[in-house]
Amino acid sequence: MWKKWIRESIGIVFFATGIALLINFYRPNSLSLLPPSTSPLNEGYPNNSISFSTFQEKLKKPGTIILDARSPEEFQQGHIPGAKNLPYYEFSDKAPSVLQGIAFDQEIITYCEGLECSNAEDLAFLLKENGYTKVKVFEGGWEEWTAHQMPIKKGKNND
Amino acid sequence: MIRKIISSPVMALIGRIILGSIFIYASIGKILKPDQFAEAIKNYRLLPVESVNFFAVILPWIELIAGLCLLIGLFSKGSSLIIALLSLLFLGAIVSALIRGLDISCGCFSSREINKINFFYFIRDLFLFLLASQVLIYDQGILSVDKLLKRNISR
Repeated sequence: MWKKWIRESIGIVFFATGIALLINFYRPNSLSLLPPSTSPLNEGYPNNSISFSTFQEKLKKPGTIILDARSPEEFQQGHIPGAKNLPYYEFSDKAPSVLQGIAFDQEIITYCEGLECSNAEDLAFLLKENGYTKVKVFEGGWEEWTAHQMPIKKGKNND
Repeated sequence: MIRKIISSPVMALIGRIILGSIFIYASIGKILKPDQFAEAIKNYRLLPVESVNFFAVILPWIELIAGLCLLIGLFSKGSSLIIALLSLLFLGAIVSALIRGLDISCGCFSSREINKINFFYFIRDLFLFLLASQVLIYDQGILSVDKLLKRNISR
């Protein structure tokens, strides 16, 4: 009995895989199944991160934009002074207002909670897709910032 | 009484309809926007990056075909086995993300969900797994293509 169920399952999986690959091959917005170096999903990810010390140096540079990719609640509880809140999951809604007045060649640094979160990288990816050319990720994020007992700012309004 | 309900073939039919509809609905957004689903998978950090796109392409289609089969009762046992295994897979991914404290969305229905993973997602997937197991064990093919085919063959 189990053998029949497993045979049926394998059949369905093979059939679905075949259709999926065929449709992916012909559709206009197909996904590349090639290794990461050629996949658009990973563009801009490697060598995109900056360390805490580099981040500190960049902060001193006038015109550098800091974007906090965390949720509005987390931002309200505390953020890096000068940062604007642009949650990754609300990019399409909030980007037009948050990014208003920022030039495409202006330096932008994103951060999220820390090494374990990927929202800063994802936000950087979206920014690059939208034409911003100098986007970096402060990988250590909020955790590293607070671990160094750096000043923080509270409140929901973007600085 | 509860045992009787759980082992009821009518309950299995209801389970088939619920699971089939859920999985068909869940697959559509992912099929339409595979790139966003790939991002959702990537955020879990469970798969090697080079395999993310492949799974983003095939997983929604497996959900869709298994969901359709379950709904019409074609290869009900095989499709419910797939759905049980998929639910178990999603359950594992959610538990692992919760344990690691990942700040990500589920990507279960639409690839651009705003809500982050929480305990509710765990309960929901556990329910789907139990329902799929019930269908797998107790389905007797009420209102199913399987039964129709069997009847035609035996004539």
